[in-house]
Amino acid sequence: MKRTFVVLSLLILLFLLWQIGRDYNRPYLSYQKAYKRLLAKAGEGEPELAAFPFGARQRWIVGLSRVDRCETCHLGGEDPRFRDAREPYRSHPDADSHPAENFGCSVCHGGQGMATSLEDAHGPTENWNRAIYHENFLQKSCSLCHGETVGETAPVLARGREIFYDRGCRGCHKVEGKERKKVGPPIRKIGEKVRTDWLYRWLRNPRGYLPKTRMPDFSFSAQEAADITLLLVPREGAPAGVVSGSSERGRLLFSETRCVTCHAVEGKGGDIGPDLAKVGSKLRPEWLLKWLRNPHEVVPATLMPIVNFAEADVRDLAAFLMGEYVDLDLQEDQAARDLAAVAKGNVRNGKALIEKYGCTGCHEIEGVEDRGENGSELTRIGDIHISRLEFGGVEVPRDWRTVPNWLYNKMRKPRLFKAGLKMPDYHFSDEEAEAVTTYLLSLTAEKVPSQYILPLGERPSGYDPQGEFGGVVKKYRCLVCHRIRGSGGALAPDLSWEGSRVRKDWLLTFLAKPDTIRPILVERMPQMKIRDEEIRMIDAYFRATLVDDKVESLSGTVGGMHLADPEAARRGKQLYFEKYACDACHQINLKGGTVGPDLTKAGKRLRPEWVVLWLRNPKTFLPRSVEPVYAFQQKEIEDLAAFVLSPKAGKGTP
Amino acid sequence: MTRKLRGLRLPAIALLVLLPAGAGWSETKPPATDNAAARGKEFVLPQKHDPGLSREAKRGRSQYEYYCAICHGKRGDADGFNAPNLRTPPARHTDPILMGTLSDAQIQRIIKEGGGALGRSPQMPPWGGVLKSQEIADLTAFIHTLAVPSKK
Repeated sequence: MKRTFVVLSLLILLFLLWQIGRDYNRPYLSYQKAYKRLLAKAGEGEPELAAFPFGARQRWIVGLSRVDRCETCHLGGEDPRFRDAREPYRSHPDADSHPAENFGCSVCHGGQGMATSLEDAHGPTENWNRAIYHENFLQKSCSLCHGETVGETAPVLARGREIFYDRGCRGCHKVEGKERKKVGPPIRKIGEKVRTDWLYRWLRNPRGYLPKTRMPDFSFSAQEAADITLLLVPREGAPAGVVSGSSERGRLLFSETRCVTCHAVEGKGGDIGPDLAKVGSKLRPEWLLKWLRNPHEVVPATLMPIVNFAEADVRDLAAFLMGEYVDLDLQEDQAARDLAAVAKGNVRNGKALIEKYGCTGCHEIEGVEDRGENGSELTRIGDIHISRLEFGGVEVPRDWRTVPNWLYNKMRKPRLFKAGLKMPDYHFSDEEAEAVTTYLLSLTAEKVPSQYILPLGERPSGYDPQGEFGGVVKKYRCLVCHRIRGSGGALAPDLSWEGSRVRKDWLLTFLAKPDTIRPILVERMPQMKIRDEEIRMIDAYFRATLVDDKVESLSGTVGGMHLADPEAARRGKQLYFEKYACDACHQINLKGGTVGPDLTKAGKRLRPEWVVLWLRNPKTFLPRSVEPVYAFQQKEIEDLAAFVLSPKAGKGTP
Repeated sequence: MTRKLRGLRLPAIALLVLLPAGAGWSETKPPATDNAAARGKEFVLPQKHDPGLSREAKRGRSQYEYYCAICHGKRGDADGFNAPNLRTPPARHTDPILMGTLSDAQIQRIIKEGGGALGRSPQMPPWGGVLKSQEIADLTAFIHTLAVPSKK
């Protein structure tokens, strides 16, 4: 009995020692020992090495209510010597803007801050929802403090947000505080707009007609497409008439008007409007005539400007589009076969399908009631627990089962987890799927205290001109391409200071017949036949409102310069070509680079004050312009301005 | 014999009780299984973008594509859209021989002060007024990834 007791005591003692040893020899210690060796290699002093503090390290970020022990293993901290070290020793890249002292780690990276083992800290673990975020989704966290309109600071998040609202996700998914806009065209009397057989083919495979369409792919069967088509076009209209007009003149008008600025033809051209390569096989000519006369009457929200076409222009252009831009891949009897298929459709099923798939989320559809969002609410999708996400029959290793991974795969293949799900396929690329996932993850109820809030990025300015000028801006849809005071597109120059930039004579001529200032661009200002009285009014508004004091206050300085002196211009020419090689980027008389604007006619176009200010600091108005900043001397600025503004003889000069 | 067995009984019980307890405190978990079923094959993980690039080079790349690619080309092949307009062709950053002759300091100086500063073409403008020194260091790191020494 005594021997049993001794053996037992020894066993218990051994066990006790084993546990003490294990507790002492924590898994993180091996990382810390390795880090100490790296420190020695990096030339750390002996006394510091001897005093190396082994043990768990913790940061308590009171403001964010977080306790993070990540730096127990991620030891590089903010030490620049470890900038390119291997993990977990690599130092944090944003030490300046996001010091760990103020933010900790897990508020951005996710994971379980208090854990001190790899598996528990990084997750996913049984009861911890937030595995650390993959670097591709990391920008989801930027929105916590910086808001979701972060722009260039967090490009993936910004892109995801843009895709989310642009592709119409909001149509089916509620996000609190976000307006539900219908991103597709309204469907009213669609039979008067498009050919019925086209609609049937479109529903079956939208990308077959427009490879870059926003319309997602619902994978409708032939019967389903027929059901919906028959509902939308109950009676086939009269056979399409032929437009009487000169196709030749139409072709000329098409190129003069520069329709390709917005509409591509077989992928070549802009992407604001749809590709027109096969439009003749889609539209009914009567509708096209109406559209070309006044698109705003047909679809008030369209981005298409009103071009002041004469009636003959409209007919010629329509004749050209309908005759030339047809789908050459269509078989001869395709239309007849498609129409026969549509005739077998079932209107009641069509309506049920439209309701089931939530087509009214993107389209206003005549005769179908919009019952609101038919998908899951996403207001807090970033907080959802993984157990609430269906993996269906798909077997996924436990370590892969995280909310971001689920969302990412859902974006790539919306019907992956179950056949027959409602969500259509948007054919997102991997990058797009990552961006949308990043935005979705940013939708969370998590709040940070006000001292952490720092909005970044450009906010919509709400600039919306009224009155006569406002009317013209809307008629010609100027803000689709141009930006004025923070409102509008980025395709064309920002006009916020146009009154201070350009000369009156030039502006009047340009608006009447726009030519190109940037030789490289495909996009050029369309020729919209703006009327004379409108042009004068635009000029008056520019002069009175779109001016900047930084330019106007230079008039005294510029008055004292010898800009008309041919000697100054000669010196400027030398500087321009030899010392500074401005011709690397700017053309004069068709010679030189095509990065910046052509300067042949700069003297006719630009005001001297503007040129002088630009030479002083080209980033005054456009901080992201690619123009380098030179430290020109005052005299050089005068000479360069004199040369740039001087008339330049050559074949490019009118 | 019964005595011997009886003597072993207690330690055996102790072991049986204590061992699993110890195992319960263990911090290792069963390894994740990788043999996902056939349907799981379509389930993919996000892939790191350019795992080979250092963090500096990645930052440098976005600057390169914005400022430099116009002439030097997106991959440094000296085939940017503006390259044909230049009197002196832009440096080919994919050329290992050329890049081998330039030190980091030289590259950074050309970026900062322009080609003219080192007796090269003034058509390479100075970017010191636009880019911070860290950004120029990032660019240099990226430029080095473009030239791959040939192994022939």
